[in-house]
Amino acid sequence: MKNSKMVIRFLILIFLTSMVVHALINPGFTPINLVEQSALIQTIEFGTIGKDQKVVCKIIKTLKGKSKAKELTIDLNKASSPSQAKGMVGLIKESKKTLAAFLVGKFNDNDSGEEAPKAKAFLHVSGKWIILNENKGIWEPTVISTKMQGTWAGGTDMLIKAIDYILKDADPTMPVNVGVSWEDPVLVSTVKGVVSSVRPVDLDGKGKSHLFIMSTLGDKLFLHDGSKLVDVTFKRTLTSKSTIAAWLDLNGDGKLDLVSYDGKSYSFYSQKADGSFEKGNSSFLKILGGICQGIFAIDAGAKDKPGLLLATDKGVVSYKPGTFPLQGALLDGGGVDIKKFGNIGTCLVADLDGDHLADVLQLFENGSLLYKANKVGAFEKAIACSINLGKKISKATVGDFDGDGLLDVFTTAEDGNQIWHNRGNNIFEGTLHVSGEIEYIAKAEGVDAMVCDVNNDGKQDIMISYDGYSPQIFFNRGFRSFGHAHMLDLTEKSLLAESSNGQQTCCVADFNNDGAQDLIVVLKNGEVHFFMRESEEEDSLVIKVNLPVKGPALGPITVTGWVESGDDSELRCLGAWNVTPGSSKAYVGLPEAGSCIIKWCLPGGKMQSKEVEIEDAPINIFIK
Amino acid sequence: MGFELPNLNFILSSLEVVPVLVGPLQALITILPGLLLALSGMIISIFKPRVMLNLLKILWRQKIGVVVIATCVGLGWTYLPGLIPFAKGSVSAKEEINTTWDMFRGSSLRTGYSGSGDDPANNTLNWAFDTEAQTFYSTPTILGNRVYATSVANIGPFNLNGDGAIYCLDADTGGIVWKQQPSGYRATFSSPSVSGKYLVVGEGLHLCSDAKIYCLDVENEGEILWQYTTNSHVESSPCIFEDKVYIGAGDDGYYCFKLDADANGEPQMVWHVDGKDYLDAEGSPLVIELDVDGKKSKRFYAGLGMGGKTLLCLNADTGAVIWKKPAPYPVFGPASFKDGRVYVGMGNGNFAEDAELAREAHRTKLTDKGMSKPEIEEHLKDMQPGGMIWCLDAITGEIIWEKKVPRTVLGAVIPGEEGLYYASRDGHMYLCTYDGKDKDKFQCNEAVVASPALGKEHVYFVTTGGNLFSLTSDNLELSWKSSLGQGALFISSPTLSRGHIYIGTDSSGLQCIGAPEVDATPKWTSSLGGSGNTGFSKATTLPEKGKYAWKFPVKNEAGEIEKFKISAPSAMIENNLFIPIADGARKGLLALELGVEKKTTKTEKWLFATPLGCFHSPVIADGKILVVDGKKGDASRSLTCLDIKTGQAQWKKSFPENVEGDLVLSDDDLLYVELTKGMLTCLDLSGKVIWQMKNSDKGLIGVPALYSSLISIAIYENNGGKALMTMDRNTGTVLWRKTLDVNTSPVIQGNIIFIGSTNGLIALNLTDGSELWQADTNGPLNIELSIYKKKIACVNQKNEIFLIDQRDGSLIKKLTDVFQKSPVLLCRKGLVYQGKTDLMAYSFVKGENKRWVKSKWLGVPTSPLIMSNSRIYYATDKKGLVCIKEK
Repeated sequence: MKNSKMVIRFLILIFLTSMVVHALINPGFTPINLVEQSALIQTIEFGTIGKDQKVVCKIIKTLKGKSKAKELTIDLNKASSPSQAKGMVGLIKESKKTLAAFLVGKFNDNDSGEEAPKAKAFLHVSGKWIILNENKGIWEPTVISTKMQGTWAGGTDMLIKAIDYILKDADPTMPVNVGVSWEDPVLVSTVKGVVSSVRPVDLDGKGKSHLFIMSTLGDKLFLHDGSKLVDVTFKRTLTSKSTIAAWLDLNGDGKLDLVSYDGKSYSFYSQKADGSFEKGNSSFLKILGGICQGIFAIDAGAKDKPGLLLATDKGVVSYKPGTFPLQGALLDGGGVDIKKFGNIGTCLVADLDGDHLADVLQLFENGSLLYKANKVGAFEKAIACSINLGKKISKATVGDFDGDGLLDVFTTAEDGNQIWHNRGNNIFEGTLHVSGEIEYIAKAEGVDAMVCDVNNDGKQDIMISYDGYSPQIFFNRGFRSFGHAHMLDLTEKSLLAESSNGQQTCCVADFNNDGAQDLIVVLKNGEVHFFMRESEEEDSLVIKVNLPVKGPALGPITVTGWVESGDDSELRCLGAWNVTPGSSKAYVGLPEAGSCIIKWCLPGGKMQSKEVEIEDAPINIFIK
Repeated sequence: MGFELPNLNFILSSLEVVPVLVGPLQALITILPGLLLALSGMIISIFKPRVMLNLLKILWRQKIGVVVIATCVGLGWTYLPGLIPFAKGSVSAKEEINTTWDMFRGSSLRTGYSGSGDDPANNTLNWAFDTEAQTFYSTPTILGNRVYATSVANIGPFNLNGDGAIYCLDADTGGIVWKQQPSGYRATFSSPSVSGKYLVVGEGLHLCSDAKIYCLDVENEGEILWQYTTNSHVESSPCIFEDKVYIGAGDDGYYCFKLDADANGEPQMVWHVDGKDYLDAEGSPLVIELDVDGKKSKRFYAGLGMGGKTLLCLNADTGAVIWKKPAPYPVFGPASFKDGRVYVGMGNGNFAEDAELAREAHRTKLTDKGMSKPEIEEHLKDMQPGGMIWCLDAITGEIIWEKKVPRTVLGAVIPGEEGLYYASRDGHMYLCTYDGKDKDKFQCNEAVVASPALGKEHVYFVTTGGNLFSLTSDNLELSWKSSLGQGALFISSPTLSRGHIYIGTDSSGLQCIGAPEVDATPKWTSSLGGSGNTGFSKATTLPEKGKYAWKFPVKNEAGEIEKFKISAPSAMIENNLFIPIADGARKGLLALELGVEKKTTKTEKWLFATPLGCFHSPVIADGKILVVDGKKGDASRSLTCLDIKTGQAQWKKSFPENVEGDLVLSDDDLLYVELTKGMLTCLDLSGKVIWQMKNSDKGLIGVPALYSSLISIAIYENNGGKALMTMDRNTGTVLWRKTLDVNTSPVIQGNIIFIGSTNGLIALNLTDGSELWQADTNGPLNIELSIYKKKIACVNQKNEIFLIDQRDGSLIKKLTDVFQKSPVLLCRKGLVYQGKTDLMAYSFVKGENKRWVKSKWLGVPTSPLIMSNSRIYYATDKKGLVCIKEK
């Protein structure tokens, strides 16, 4: 009996898995069309499925239309086949009392192949669509629709949010393609050595990004001079060689310095007033041992100088600002047994719980430790967290993919990718399987990932670079549903054939200061290619929010962008960005001119906001 | 010796597309010489028998010579016309263009419009090609300045298939560029399709059983590249797609050939679906490429007529069936395609026979076959008058909706902006929505079998009786009508290009008709461009959504933004804006030139500075701008005339402080202004007073309205009331005066005056002031009216907009939550108004109002909106002048 139940469960699992839909985005029928054509939209909660295969659903809220009914009944006996019925049962059970979306109307796009003589409904539950017909007050599901995945391939909770947005916003958008393209690539340079990272850095504190390339045989700096990226490494006298590095004003002189790890030891390169770099005393840190996995700036509560965090295989070491050598202390691992976590990876330093204090997330292959900040620069004992990095080469990054103001996490590794949706209360849920095309188009063997807004629509997109494939960009349609940006695919558009063999790393940032984010690809042979994004004037509306080096926050803070939505001028969050002085900025794209409210909270401070009007050019803001 | 007229019924047959109908006159002309000879011989024989006998004796003696002469005359009569070199009209060099006309009606939308040129605004005959051929059943194909068509000639009892030729004419002159008349080429209904150097066309009318398909080289005088003989007629018009051509051949099915011949010059057939399975392949195919589940799929769509009654979708590369939709009627109409849907018309009857005639003809055919009466009735029961429009999913063939029509639809169903256009044998032109719901119809009282043509703002069609109609495309109102001459079989569809209509006729050749409206020297005749105008210049359409483009002024070199206060609408001529600045660092009238290529560039041309500022819109004509400075109550005001290019003052008149300052200019450049309180003055552009008329002591209300030789003004009466009066504007003579509690300026359209009053909107007869109707607007109207064609928009004091039908005062739409302090911008597609926070638009097409542009951040509008080239300009309290463009 037990075995047969196991077999049945296994078969259901296989069946459900086999129904993974590889539907492409349907440009002719988006959620906006769906909402427009629906006469009634409700959220419902399933009751228990009776032995008669009927389930009574409680109507929780009516989002559109009018209905006096408090419940509705679904008769699963009417499914088109027993296997369909089993699938529907599985979806309902999987939903575990979370809300489902129920949309009723006469639709122009459905896969029933017949004219609808009566009202038709779509039910979205556990990330899947079911089509239903009404018969004498009872709803009869027919099929689990794969075609409708082209309309929305995302979580049910996200669909409900999307519906709410569509109903409230005066001009809702749900893009069906990325809408932008790259210009032809320009070969910038060839970098020797192993390149572990390319990232933007605002060395001069003016809002303009240098390109920083970390290489074992010599780091590089480039600056766009208005027509091309120019190598300024020599001019800046930067002699570092890094596998891992971080930019922070370690000596408190108001200029960004470099802390570099070359695989064996740490170095400190101080930026002088004239912008050149000088290698500092190698004993600037008292090292506690261990192999470095990451270096981060952190606000330690001191005036003018940030603290430093080192992620090592021994744990996370926190260095308070002060005179050199800086003294470090291991953060309390909380006694969590990390043996089962496997190989140790890097850290993320960001406000993950929305309390406006930057936390530390130490990532492992099979788990993570979350060091929650309880005050500026101080952390609680670590607690185990569900996020895991994946196998071998791996990267993680934060972003806000559903626009709720909480930072989510994206991980890429040799064995695959994951979107960790921040549910609050330190709960992160793996949601890649209900996040659109990224689920089945993104590949394994990711070597780097970055969050960006490649089309300036205010929604955060994801770029993944690979060891064996062309880099991919997934544009966010809104509410954590991603589409593959075909127009930006280097192989599909025959832009850089060699990229199909993989890269060392990539990054997306605005290097030429035109407001549009560009792409840097470092191939395995060290060639650095620059793809400028094609843009007309109106494509480049963005508010870049920066933290000055010697400013009110010396470590990461969260910045959110908000726009008016709906008739009552209700504000809608575009998303949250993790902003660090000099290293990362908030890139709040806007699809059209208008006003936007930027909000932030400094550590230990109150929420602040600033209304920014953007007309026809990108704007740089420095938080004071 | 007599001569019997042939039995014309012999010529008629139950043919489905184009039966060979030989008109009695045509038959008579053919046999006239013989008839005259016989008649004269008969008369001589009766009255002068001896003369006749002597004549016969002479003829007998000279019999050999007589035979030779008779033979020469006969041959000459037949062949001489063809030997005379055809007269060439003027022909200009061929324009290089990069478009094609690769299927019937030019594209998958089947609009019959090449895309070049405006809609012809009149029915002027530009030229007619009628010397060589008088009958054209085919539809002209236009590419650049070349017209391609096939002709019909010499159809008679002894030449049932007639003769034809393929012409290439100069589109501007009708001159022959070249003519291709392959040996034995018969009268033809098929219309040419052209792509690159290739022209492909069919041959023959319905009686042909061995008609050919021809491929010609248009770059080489129509040289024949290849030809193919079918086993039937080829009345279908081909479709060229990529390197192939597709065409129907009646009872011989559908063909696909490569455009290029093989090495031996022979046609290369790609596929052929036989007529025995594809009966009556008469339709003009549509070939398109679709995205089906991420893969490209080339699809062929065409109908089958009487014998097949089906709409086909075949694989364009192989001819394999993808789907077949059996239809209740013969499907002769060409399928059109838009947004994943296919549209097609069908019905009983054909191009020459209505359903009843076709049924009777079929009855005759079945009777001849020996069928019994009950069997015949069974066959004929589905041949009642009737027709239908289908909308299908292009990929699956699923019928999304079907719409019954009283009679057949033989022409194309055209997807346009306003909906679907189609015409029927029932004597109507129809417009329905994309859901198949009726929207509008026009009754023309004659059958329509040809396809309509859809231009920018008009739809054109021809009836079987040869009446060509031009209707407005938004509401099917008649613009003009023209007769194409005599005849009973007008089946050529109008083609629109270069501002003209090209169409074949039954007996008046191929004609080029009409010309676009010519803009006179641009004028700006009043605030918002004219009385009742809503500020938009011609040939501009309201974008569905707007977005911010730019503002003016911008930061100066010092990084400061100058503040402007603008309360009156700007004037616009071509790409120049004339902005009346009421207050700020600079005051006066500013001329701003807008970039044409780069639309964000703005160049200040000149400023007419005046310390009082400008609170009124200028008027512009003949290179001059007239503007009044200051506002009511200001001293030392002036009416100044400026040179439009330099802003230099040409003359100046002092202007009273106790009047508003609105100006009105007539089409003949006379200015009407209240130069003294209560006195209307008419001046010419040199400042010379033509006449003055004292109307009241208390002053005028609003702005005068002009129409033809009349001018209407609202005034305050001396007794404290208000009145409306109409005068002869050339002399100032008052025609009538009527006491009326008016609140707005009058607006005239046609011979009706519209005016806002305390009681609502009133319509009066212009000639005598009699009231035509009154519309309730829930309270007084106090903002100037906006009028566009049949709609009037007015705003009451309760922040409600009423959209009224000008014809009868009925309410079209009421909009609430309006914060409109100036005239509504009303145009063809909808209206734009100020909502609670943003600019809103109400769409006439969709019947809904939505936020049109996110404009709250720009500030509160301080001036009315004007629109030009799909861009809206207005002033706000925060930004100065703002430009909104299409999103």
